[in-house]
Amino acid sequence: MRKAYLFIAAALIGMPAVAAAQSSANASVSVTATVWKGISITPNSGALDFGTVIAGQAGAPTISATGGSAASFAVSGQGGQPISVTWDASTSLPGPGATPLTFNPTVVGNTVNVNTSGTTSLSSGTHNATLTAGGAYYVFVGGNLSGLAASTTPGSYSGTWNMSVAY
Amino acid sequence: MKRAACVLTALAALASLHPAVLAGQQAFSQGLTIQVGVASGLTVLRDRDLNFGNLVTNSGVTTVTLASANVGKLHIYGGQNRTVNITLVPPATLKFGTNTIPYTWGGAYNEQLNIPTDPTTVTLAATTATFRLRDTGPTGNYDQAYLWIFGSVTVGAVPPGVYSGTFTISAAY
Repeated sequence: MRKAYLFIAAALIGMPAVAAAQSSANASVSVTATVWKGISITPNSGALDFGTVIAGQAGAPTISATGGSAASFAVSGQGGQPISVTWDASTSLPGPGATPLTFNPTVVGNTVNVNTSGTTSLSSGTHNATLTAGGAYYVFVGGNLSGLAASTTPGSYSGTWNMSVAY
Repeated sequence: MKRAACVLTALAALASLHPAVLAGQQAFSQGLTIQVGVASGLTVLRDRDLNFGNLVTNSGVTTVTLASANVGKLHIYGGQNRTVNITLVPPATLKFGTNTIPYTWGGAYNEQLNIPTDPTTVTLAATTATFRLRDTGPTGNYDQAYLWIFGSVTVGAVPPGVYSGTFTISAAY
């Protein structure tokens, strides 16, 4: 009998009443995506034209990025966001001769469409400029030509130089 | 607590019966261990929201995977080794005012490891699932499991803005 009592007691203690307790809960996760206006860059001027240069002339032909002959670009995107302006470090300009000329850029930027004052010298790289609250930025390009020598074959030399922007 | 009280009452009745049954027999003493199990309440805690970051208009599909740093994360804790049933209610779209972008949900759980990329992590195929809480909690008196929320959004020609939605997770046992 003693064993019987103990068995009953053990059974009562081990009843699954508490283990079967039910409970429920919930929580929520916020799912978020921030959408920005697409970024673009548009030429505001024609080609960067060095005009006529003389084979063997003293000094490298140069166009100032803050002068009237500079090429200009308008950048548009999400207002207030930093952007990365990158470009080719140099560009080969093939011509009629065996040796091309080389274009070496100089780049400045401004928050307004003016390159004669208030510009900032830019280096190609990450987050090197910031769009205005209205989402604008302006880039002006000058540079010089290297490789011009007395032996340079006369003729027209041209090439394509690339610039890109990203957030 | 009502059930626990019944157990104690029954044990007291047994103790009062004991001397009569044992009359005429040799004396002995018997220790009686009394146990009461109190189940932990089930809790779902959000550890991190799901954030797709900064996207650009017309950029198309962007996916946050289970392995991404910005995957949404929760943990569920409750009674030791309990089996839980979960129900997910994902948003179909993320909204910015009246503008929307589609959201395709993804989810996964791990019963024991807080490691989303572990081979034991199970990717959810439906919005309901059943699994066990197997990871012993820090204090040792409850167990927990882990849940991750991810997915993809498709950004078309929509206005710039912050698009958001609410992903609800319910659990019960």
